[in-house]
Amino acid sequence: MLTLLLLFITSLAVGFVSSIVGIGGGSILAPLLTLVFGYDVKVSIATTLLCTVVTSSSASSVYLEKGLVNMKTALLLEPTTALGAITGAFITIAIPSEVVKVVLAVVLLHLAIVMMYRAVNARSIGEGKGYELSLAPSISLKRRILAVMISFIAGMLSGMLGIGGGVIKVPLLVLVLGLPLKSAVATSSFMIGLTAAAGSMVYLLKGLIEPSLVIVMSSGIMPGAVLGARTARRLKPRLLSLLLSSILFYAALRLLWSLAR
Amino acid sequence: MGYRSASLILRCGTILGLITITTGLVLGHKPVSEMLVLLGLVSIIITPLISLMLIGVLSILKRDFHTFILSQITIGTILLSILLSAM
Repeated sequence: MLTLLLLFITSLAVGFVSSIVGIGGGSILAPLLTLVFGYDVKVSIATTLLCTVVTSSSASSVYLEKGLVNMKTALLLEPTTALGAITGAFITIAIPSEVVKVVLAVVLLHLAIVMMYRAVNARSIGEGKGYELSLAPSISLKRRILAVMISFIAGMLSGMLGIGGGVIKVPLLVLVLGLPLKSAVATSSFMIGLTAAAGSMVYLLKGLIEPSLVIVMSSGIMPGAVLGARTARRLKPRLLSLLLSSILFYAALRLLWSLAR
Repeated sequence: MGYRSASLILRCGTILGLITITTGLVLGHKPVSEMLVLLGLVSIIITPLISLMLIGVLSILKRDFHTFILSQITIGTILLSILLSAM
């Protein structure tokens, strides 16, 4: 019971911080479940992925209502992304937990570095370019093929590690497909729900999802994210980004250290 | 615009799934609770799919065949994953 209460508080904090910093909670929760709460890495990934379905569904329902989702772009990329998620989930199930930990640690290190770089340079994607919501410009076939290929990798990482993959999808939508930032975030959120659902189904049928954790984590992340979004303007995102990247860095090292012992 | 119903499905489906899982966990009566938990988990997973199906239907009503075909390919891919993992 105490563990679940602690997990609820942790999820609340993760939801709060991640909504301010602009990342999904999966990248933090999956290693936390393994390192702090002692769950098997595969169970942590599977459960976090299902929580991602819950959180992104509630977020994208708002975006859909506001008409911010670029449906054509989302559906162009989603088949390969979903296929990637399924492949990723099968890879995680098939390989030993130690290898999964190494891959998770490497991705966390990458995330930590990207986040730190952005915080230090204080510049997010599309900042200062006058992005407003408009229709996606016509994109060459080469760029579309490139986007489809990258989205497969994003999906694979999502299915493999229980992360949403927004950190790949948003830059892809903005930089390769030329979507406005607002629309890219909304489109990515809509895609994340579908991608995570595809991966989650594989994990569910293999019995790797822990239902009680889904309830506790979802009911923590959602109010935390709402609270974070409301107080975002009063806090310093740069400082939080630095803090979060340090946590991710530490988690990655701890994962690697647990293997070395 | 025009995806209000799909948005409503996304919101209600996940909440319904979470409530069903909680009921199952609280109930504790073995066969029924297990069934409720599974039902809740499945309903959370299929909610985005149902929403996508509705988007497909809406796009065909608007004669947007491109969106319709893409939505069907996505649904097909995800259903394939279910079949593959069930094997």
